[in-house]
Order: sequence, then structure tokens, then C-alpha cells
Amino acid sequence: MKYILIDDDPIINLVHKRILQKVEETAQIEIFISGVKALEYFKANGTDGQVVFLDINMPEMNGFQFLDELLKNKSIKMEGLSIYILTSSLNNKDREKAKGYPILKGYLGKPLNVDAMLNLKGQFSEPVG
Amino acid sequence: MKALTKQQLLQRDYQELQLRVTRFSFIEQQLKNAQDKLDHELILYKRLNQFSNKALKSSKVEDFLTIAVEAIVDILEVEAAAIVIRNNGSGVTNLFTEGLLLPTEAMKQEFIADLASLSEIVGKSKSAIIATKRLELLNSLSDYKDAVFHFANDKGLDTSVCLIGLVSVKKAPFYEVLDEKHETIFSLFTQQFLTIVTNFFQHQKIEDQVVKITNSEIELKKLSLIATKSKNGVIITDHKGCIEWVNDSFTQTTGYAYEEVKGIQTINILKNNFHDVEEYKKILKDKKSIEFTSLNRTKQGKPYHSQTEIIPVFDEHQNFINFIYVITDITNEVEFKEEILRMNSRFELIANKSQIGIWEWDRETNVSTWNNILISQYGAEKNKVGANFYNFWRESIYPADQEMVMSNRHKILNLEIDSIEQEYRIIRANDKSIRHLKTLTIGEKDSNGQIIRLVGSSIDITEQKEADEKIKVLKLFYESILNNMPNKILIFNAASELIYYNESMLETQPFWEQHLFHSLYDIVITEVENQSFVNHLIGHIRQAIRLKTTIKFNETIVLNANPTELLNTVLPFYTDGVLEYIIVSGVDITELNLAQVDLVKKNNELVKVNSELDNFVYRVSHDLRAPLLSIKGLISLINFAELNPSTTEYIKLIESSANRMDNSIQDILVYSRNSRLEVKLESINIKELVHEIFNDIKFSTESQIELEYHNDGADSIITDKFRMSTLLKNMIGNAIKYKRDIPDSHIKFHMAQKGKTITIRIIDNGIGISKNSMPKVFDMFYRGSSASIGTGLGLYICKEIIDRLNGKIKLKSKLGAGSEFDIILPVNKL
Repeated sequence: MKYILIDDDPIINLVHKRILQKVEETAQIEIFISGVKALEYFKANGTDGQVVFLDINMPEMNGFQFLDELLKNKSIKMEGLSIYILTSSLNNKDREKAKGYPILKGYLGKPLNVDAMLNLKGQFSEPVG
Repeated sequence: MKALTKQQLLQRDYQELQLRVTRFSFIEQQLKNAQDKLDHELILYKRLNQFSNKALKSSKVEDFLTIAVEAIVDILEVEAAAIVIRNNGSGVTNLFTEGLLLPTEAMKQEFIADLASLSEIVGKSKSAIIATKRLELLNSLSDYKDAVFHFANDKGLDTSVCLIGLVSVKKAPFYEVLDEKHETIFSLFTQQFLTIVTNFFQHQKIEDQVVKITNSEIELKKLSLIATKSKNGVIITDHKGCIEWVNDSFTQTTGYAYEEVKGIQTINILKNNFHDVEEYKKILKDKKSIEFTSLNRTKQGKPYHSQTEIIPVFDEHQNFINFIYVITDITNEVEFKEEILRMNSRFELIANKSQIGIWEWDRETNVSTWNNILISQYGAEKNKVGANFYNFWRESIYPADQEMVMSNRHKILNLEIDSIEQEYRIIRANDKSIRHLKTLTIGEKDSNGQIIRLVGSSIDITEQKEADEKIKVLKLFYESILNNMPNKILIFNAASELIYYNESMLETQPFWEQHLFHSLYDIVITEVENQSFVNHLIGHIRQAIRLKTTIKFNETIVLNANPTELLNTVLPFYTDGVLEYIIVSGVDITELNLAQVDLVKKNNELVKVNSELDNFVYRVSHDLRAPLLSIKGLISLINFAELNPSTTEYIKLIESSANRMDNSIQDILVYSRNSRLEVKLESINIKELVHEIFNDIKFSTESQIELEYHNDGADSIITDKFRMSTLLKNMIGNAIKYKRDIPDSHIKFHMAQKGKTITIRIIDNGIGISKNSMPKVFDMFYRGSSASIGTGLGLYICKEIIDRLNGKIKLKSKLGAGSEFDIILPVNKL
């Protein structure tokens, strides 16, 4: 399974990477510390059934702005992506706002833990093709 | 053609001449006839004239009538004539005839009756030729061929007259047939006849009256000998007292005619005290008359008052022969006196009822009379004051008023004024209180214009005066309120005239000061500068009166380039449905408007700041939590099997500290949200919420505890979801966190709705709260003991939430036994 972590905090990225590797030894993990960089990656490589963990509060481009740009770009196929919000926000507004994006598969609180990951695994969509 | 011979021509001329002569003589004859006819008519008119002259000379009516009936025959040249005169009142009928043969009375009556029937046919005041056929129908006239008839009726004399001229069948050829000519001349004759006969009768009537008057004069002279005072009733009795004669006045007064009382005793007609024999004897002895008054009754039973004088009459030998009673009807005088008495007592009654004091002072005798009301007005006792009212009165007058009162009294006595109405104070004798009196004093003068008496009235007006004073004070009070209140007041009467404005009104609209008692409709014309406002005002007043309700309107007034925004109220004021006043009250809302604008601005700013603060709080909490969450994540990656036990313990403590810090951040966030966010009501299912929260906490803490849920009412309630959820999380969380290590740990959740309140009762059998801690558990950052694992914010937040939801929280607890929280919330409506 391919995982993409988008978060501006490198330490939490490290934590999440390790947890993912604990749950799935063969996991392929890409880390982006900004939405802009992740967007460039998708534009260049397209989608390939990845599971995306997206933080909300990020400089330059926040999680929702990233989603908006992603949806705007017709060349990127969304069917292949499973996107989860992974945030430390306790703001209800963020949770409400997330409900306005049907593309999202879930809304998770940081940090990921092994049990929660095992639960999630069953829901991940298979890569296209 | 052969020419005519000369002879033939002559013969023709002659014949023509002869024809002309014949024709001329015929015309001549006709002219002659006409001349004769006129001559004859002239003769008839001359005869009529002769009759008039002759008639006027006759002195007796009978003579005149004889002349008249003869004249009819002459003037009409008829065979016979008749005149019937009938007095309608008495029915006496006289018949005068000429050339008629009516030997018996019966024939005369028949003839009169026949004429009467003719008069009915012909009608009044009309001369008419009567046809032969008509005459044939009447027995006494059937022998006559021709007749002219006239009927007249004089109402004034009450007399009717029939005149007739007749020509019989036998002798008809010798007489001229009667025609219009006769009708005309007969009509003229009857006119003259009627004039003369009327004169006769009127003369007769006057003569009759003269005779009557002469007769009554004689009678009067006779009576005056006995009864000179004809107005009074007079009775003459014989020496035994039997009535011999009474006069007309007696009859008028008593209703008894002379015939009715003749010979009876006077006692039957007049009540008197004169049947006393002694009295009777005394009169005869003293030869003096006596007088008495009595109430009698007339024959018809009507009462009358009489004054009677009885005069004994003696003859030249001093023998008593008669009594003469002279009776004067004094009913009017007596009734008048009684009326005066009645009026007096009525006046006294009115004076008593209306509490009017009345007094009188007689100058000559210097005696004062006071009525009881006046005495009580002065607080006096009748017997103590005695007769000396004047001194008492003078001393009672309040010292400051004495000069005025005495001066006014002197003015009346000195004839400077006729009367004086005044108000002055007295000191009441009994309680020494000061009373206000309103008095009237009138000077009564004799025929020489000198004061003989002073009379007066007095009313105690103290109460009225006090009430007036109170009203005055009250008026001042209200006026000072009206003048000093910030509202701008105008009051109009029902005729739209300005009757009041207050000071505040003049500050913004000084022009009203010029218009006191002016009609609004005049003001609108004269106030050109303020016409627009006055016009609006008129419109709103009309509307308020039409709808009988209060009307509000805004108006901007500019005075000295300063705009003032007024909120005006027009209130029509009714008493018993009748419009009395229109009250216009204006409030200066300029400041208010500015304040309102300011408030909106500030509120917007506040909303902005709030929102910024909200973002800031989230931002900070997020940034604070991010490293904490990294720490927690890193700890979860540590493989504790590789570490020695002490390192493991340190790491566990780090984790615990990180958790506490995270809890603190979350609590502060909740507290911050509760204090800033508006209450947002929605319908929630309390049962589901309670179970969800209970299960979440139970499983995350792996606790052995049971929940008992009980609800009397509906599970769905209307409340703020975020706050209710936070509240229950804390309450249930506490119960689980502080449970005892006993097998039957439980939480009882009971909810009941009663009236307008919802009561939520959360009971646990946990460790309980000590008495010392109980008052402090809702304080900020209070922790029951150092062993507590909370932030010290949980119950404080609960209390704050309940406050925001307008509820109350009560706590019962026993250390080592458990706690009971009662949360009372209002029932909300969406």
C-alpha cells in the first residue's frame, strides 16, 4: 500500500511513518511538508490508489485549500485516492467544514496509533487498474 | 238689344224710390220703438228713486215695508207683490202684501212656506225670474204665470227677507213678460230695500239697549242705597237674623242666589262665632259692629276665607230692626300670607341643607339674629353668645382680615356700596381653628335711602379652599414634572387649540410660545417656517382621533443648523368617549440614534474581535498541542522491552504529564468557547447522548461501572448540544473517575420534566466529597486533593455552562458513600 503524509511538522511525520511501518512492513511512504509540494507530486505522477493523511493547519496552503486545488485540477483522477484528515485541531468548525468534502474518507485526531491503523486498513480502497 | 224707353226708365226710378221710402219708414219705426222702451225704463228708474226718497222719510219699519211692497208693484209693473221678514232667532215672521188675496191665516202660512221653498232653490242675494212651471208646483202660486224673486239673509241682524213680484195667468196678456230688465231693476230695488231695512233694525236694536241701560241704572241706584261697597257681599237680615236680601257680590262669593237664601239663617251660609248669645247681646247693647274672619265653603264646596263685619241697624226710635253683614273675600290675602310662610320655611330648610349661615342686624334696635348654621360655623354656643352677636362676630374675625371686613361694612353703612361679596378668615370659637368663609352682605334701605338693616349669608369654604390649595399644589407638581422632563410636550384641547407646552418643547421648537390658545389650523398658516412639521402633526392628530389610538412618528427638526431627531407620540385623551385633549409628546432620540449607531459599530467590532480571539485560541491550542501529540506519538513508538525498568517509569511519567497538559488545553478551550459562543438551541436525544458518553468513557478508561437511565418525559429535549454534551461528559466522567473499588459501582441518571423546568439528577456511589470541599468544588482550578487527576476546571466549566443555560446546580454528597448532583434547567422552545 502506498501512503502519502502531508504535514508541516517533520517530527509527527516521522512518528506516523514509523507507526505505518509497524502496521505494514511493506508500506511505501511519501512525505510532503507542504500542500504545494504534494500538489506538484500529484500533477507530475497522477494518482495510484494512495492513502493520503492530510493535516489542516499548515503554512502557505492549508489542508482545505489543498483539497480545493486538487479538485480543481481535472487531470488528477480522484477515484484512486483515499484521503483522511489527520489533525490536532479541536475546532468544531474544521470538523464541520470537512463534512462538506465528500471525497474525504475520514477525520482522525493526531497521533495515529497502531490500533486505529489496523481498524482503518480494512476500509482502504484498492488501487485502480 | 233694344234700348229702354224714357218712360220705362222713369218707372224703374220711381219703383226704386218707393222701395227706399218703405225701407226708411221701417227703420224710423224701429228707432221710435227703442226710444219708447228707453223712456219706459227711465220711468221705472224714476219710480225706484221716488221709493228711496219716500222710504227714507218713513219713521216706522211697518210703514216702510208697506211702502216697499207697493213700490214693487209700481216699479216692476206687476200685478201683485209680497215681502216676508223673518227673525231667525225668535222665528217671528211678518208678511206684507199688495194685490194678493190671502184671506185666512192658513193661506198666509202656506204662501210664506212656498216663498221659503223658492228661497232654497234660488239661493241667497240673487234676483231671479221664476219659470211658470216652477210656480205651478207651488199651491199658493199656481195661479201665477210670471214672477221675480229675491232672497237675502243678514247674519248680523239674524234676519232673512223674501221679496216677490207676481203676474197671474188670467191677467198675463195685460202685463209685460218679465225679463232681464225686470231682474236688474228688481235687484237694484232689493239692494236699496235691504240697506234701509238693515238701518231700521240696527236702530231698533240700539234703542232696545238704551232702554235696558236706563232700566238697570234705576236698579243700580236702588241697590247703591243699601250696598255701597258693591265689591263686598252684603246680607240684610231682619231682627231675627233671617236673610231678607243679598247683593250680587254675595252670590259671586258664596255661590248662593238670592232666591236660595231668602228667609234662612246666616249661620247656614257663614261660619262664625256669633251664635254666642252673650256676644249677640253685647252688640245690641253697645250698638257697635263686630268683625271676625272665618273659613267657609261656597255652595259648590270650595273653601274661601272671609272677613265679616256685622252692623246692627236701629230706627229713629232706637229700635233694632236689621243686621247688615258686609262680607269681604280675603282668600287671596290669606293664601298669599300662607305662601310667604311656606317660602320662609322652605328657605330656612334650604339654608340648613346647604349649610348657609344667615344673619340680620337691625340698625334701630341694634339686634342681631343668627340662624343655627351660622352659629355652628363660628363654633359658638347659642346661650353663651347671647344677644351680642356683633361683638362676638367682630372678635372672631382673623386679625389680618379685620381691617378689610370692617371697612367693607362701613362702606355699606355709608351708602358707598349696596352689597359686598367677600372671603375672609375667622377663628372658630370652639376649636380655635382657622376657617374660610365666603359671605354676602346687603344693606336694606328705607324709602329715604337710609340703611335700616343689614342682612347677610355665609358659607364655610374651608374644605373647598383646602381642596383648591391641594389642586393648586398638585397642578404645580405636575407642571414642574412636565417642565423638567426631557420629553417635549404639547397639549391641545378638542378644538385643536394649543393649551400647554413645556420648557423642553421650547428648546427645540421655540415658535410654540407665540401660539398659546391658537388653533393648530391658524398656526399652520402663520408659521411658514415650520409649516411642514405642523402639517405632519395635523395629519397624525387626525389619524390618532380617527383610529382612537396612539400614533408615533419620527421627525427631524433643524434649529440653528442643529438637527434634532424627535420620536413623537400623539395620544388622544378621552373622557367617557368624548375627546378632551390631544397630548403630543416628543422624545429627543438624536443621542439615542447616535448611540445605537455606535452600539452596532461596537458590536460588529466585538464580533470581529471574538472571532479573531476564537481563531487565536484554536491556533494557540493547536500549536501547543502539536508538540504534545508528537511526544505522545513518539512514546507510543518506544519498545519498552528494550529499556531498563527505571527508564520505562520515567517515560510513563512523561506520557502522563503530556496527557494532563493536553487535558488542560482542551478544558481551557471548552471554557473559552462556553464564555464566548452564543447559546444555540436544537433538539437532541438525551438518552442517546448519555449512553454514548457513558460508553466512550467507560471503554476508554476500562472501568467496571453500570448506568441506570430513567426518564419520566420525552427523551428529546431542546438545548445547546455542545454545552449539554460537555456538561454530561464532565458529570459522567467525574462519576466514573471517582468511583470506588466496589463490585456494584453505578451511575443513576434520572430526568424529570415538571412545568417549565427539567431536572437532571446524577447519582453515584463513588468516593463522595468531603464537607470542607463541597462549597469549593465549583471554583476555578479547585482540586479536592493533590491526588486528584483533573485540571480543576471540570466542575467550574459545568457551573459556567449551567449559568449560560439559565439553570441551577445543587450538590449533595457524603464522603465514602457517593454524590448527587441536581441540575435544574428551563424548558426551551425553538
